[in-house]
Amino acid sequence: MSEMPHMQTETTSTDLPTATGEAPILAVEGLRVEFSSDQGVVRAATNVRFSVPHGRTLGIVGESGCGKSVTLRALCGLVPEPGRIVAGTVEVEGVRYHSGKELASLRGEKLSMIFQDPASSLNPVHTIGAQVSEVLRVKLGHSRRVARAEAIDLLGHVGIPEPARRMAAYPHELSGGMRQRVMIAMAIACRPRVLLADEPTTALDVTTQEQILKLLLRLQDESGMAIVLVTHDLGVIEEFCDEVAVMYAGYVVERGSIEELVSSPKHPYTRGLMAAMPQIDAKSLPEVIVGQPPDLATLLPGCPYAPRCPQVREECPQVDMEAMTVTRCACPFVGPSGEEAAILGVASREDEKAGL
Amino acid sequence: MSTAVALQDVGLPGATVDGGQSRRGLGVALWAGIAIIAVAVLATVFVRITGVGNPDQLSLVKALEAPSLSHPFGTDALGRDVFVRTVYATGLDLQVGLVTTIVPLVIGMVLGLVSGFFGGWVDAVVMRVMDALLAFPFIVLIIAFVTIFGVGLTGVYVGLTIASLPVFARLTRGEMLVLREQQFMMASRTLGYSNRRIIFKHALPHLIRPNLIYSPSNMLGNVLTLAALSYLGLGAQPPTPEWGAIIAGGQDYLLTSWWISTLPGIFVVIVGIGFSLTGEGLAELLRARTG
Repeated sequence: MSEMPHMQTETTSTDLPTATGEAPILAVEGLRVEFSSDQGVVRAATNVRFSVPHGRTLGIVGESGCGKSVTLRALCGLVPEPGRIVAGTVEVEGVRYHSGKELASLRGEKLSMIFQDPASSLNPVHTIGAQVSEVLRVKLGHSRRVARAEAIDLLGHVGIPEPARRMAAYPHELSGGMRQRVMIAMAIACRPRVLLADEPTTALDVTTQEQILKLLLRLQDESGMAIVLVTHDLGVIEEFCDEVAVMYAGYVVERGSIEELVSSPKHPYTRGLMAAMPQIDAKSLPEVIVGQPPDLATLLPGCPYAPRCPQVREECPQVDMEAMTVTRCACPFVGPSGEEAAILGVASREDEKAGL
Repeated sequence: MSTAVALQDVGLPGATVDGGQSRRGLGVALWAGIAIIAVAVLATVFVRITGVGNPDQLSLVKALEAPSLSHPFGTDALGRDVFVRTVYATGLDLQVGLVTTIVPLVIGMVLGLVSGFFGGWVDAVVMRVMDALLAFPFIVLIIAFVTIFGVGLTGVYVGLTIASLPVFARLTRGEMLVLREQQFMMASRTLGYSNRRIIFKHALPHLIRPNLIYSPSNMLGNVLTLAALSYLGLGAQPPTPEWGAIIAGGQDYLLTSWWISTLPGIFVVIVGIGFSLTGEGLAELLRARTG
């Protein structure tokens, strides 16, 4: 990662073209997703902001129920009922989209998604050949014959042996890894600019996981697409992502390049996650973050991590999270070298300078 | 329920072995069912085309004769051959049963697919209408249509079709609600497919099976309702041979000439079994094909 400083500028200024003039492929700005229920409004994602440049991978980590998947679904306009995108814009290749409906028009062409469980993400009643050709016929208007030929190419390209013969196979006749490859073939059929991957390897065994992630990276190298990889596996993030966004209770609590986060995690939650990761050469057992993520319907004001935070202080409930999510680290009480920052927001600007 | 079962089967390692065995077994059921229906259909076609035995041939001398070689089902009070009448009636009854099952199957599935997929107000409106239809006593609803269209088969066709709709619609909607949450449905949306394509190409194949299984019972029910209506004088008009009318006509003689009602009744049951076997066999065939 020799172009570190260059990357840093891109991660910290989402809405402006970067110093090199290269605009990010995907830029999310102030995204807010809410579910209205009888108990009140549940904020599944609040003021989420990140960007992914050409050919890069952004990892989103966090515990279950912290808004990762909802954020991803919002990006393709598929927030499940009764949720909706309340605010924010999503920019894809410099074009701004404001609503789920507008984003839905990108699905399949500019924006694709792959899912956690390859066993159930293919339709069991159609052959994989039919399903891959269908994408090509519907989205690219290919004839049956052209679509078939291209589908065989695609299947071969994602590493399926004997693709021509496999065209007639039903999903249940393939292994989990093969099914995920088929899903990837369908997702990249129209050469999308953004690939959203919702825990694509969680249901696979470790060796298959490695192969699938390497396949994604290879495809990314070829096409320059941006990948957003949602996972709760920090190991995967460390190995395959260029940048990371850590989410907690619907907020992005820390963003930065993988090197920054691994070498100097700032937010107490990020540090907690790191400490909770098992290490082969560790002398002690991993530390567990005590407690559960908060119920998003009854979120208290201030920092949502305060109840579990080992460095909690009296001011934590007064922290303005909306202002803090803009910066690298959403905790105002950690400075670049761990000292206290007096004014909200100042710490993060210093971070940026330090990063540059 | 059957969708869920089908999906579970996909992941089972032993599925192919079991599938192979049951496929063979159910092939027999399917062929037996088809054979029964074919025999009934061929018989009625034969009787209708060749005119061997006239269903309306009166012969008061031969009235109320017990079954014999020349009259396998005996004769009724007017001396008509009950067997010929029963076989002849097969054509009409199967036609009414088929039409009043296939039409509501198609319309009901579309209604159920759409309301299950979209939910919200579409679902509310469609399902409340279906509930209203279900809430009506079946027979009263059909009598209402017969009143509108006049005595005869038109009212029966329309009435039976509309009365059969709600079950198909509800069945399909229920399955669609389950299916909608499946990941491949979400995946097909992320691929940017139109709702129409998702509903009819990706969801429909999963929902045919429960409907197909239910179809034969719906058909039998409708044939029996037709019989009831004919009995009430609202369906097929005398002297048109019709299963229900024939069976009802034997009622007065049940203690002395049991064959007039009983033998056509057994005939109806056998044809009904034929349809059940066919429905079941077809459903299993689909299941085997879908994995």
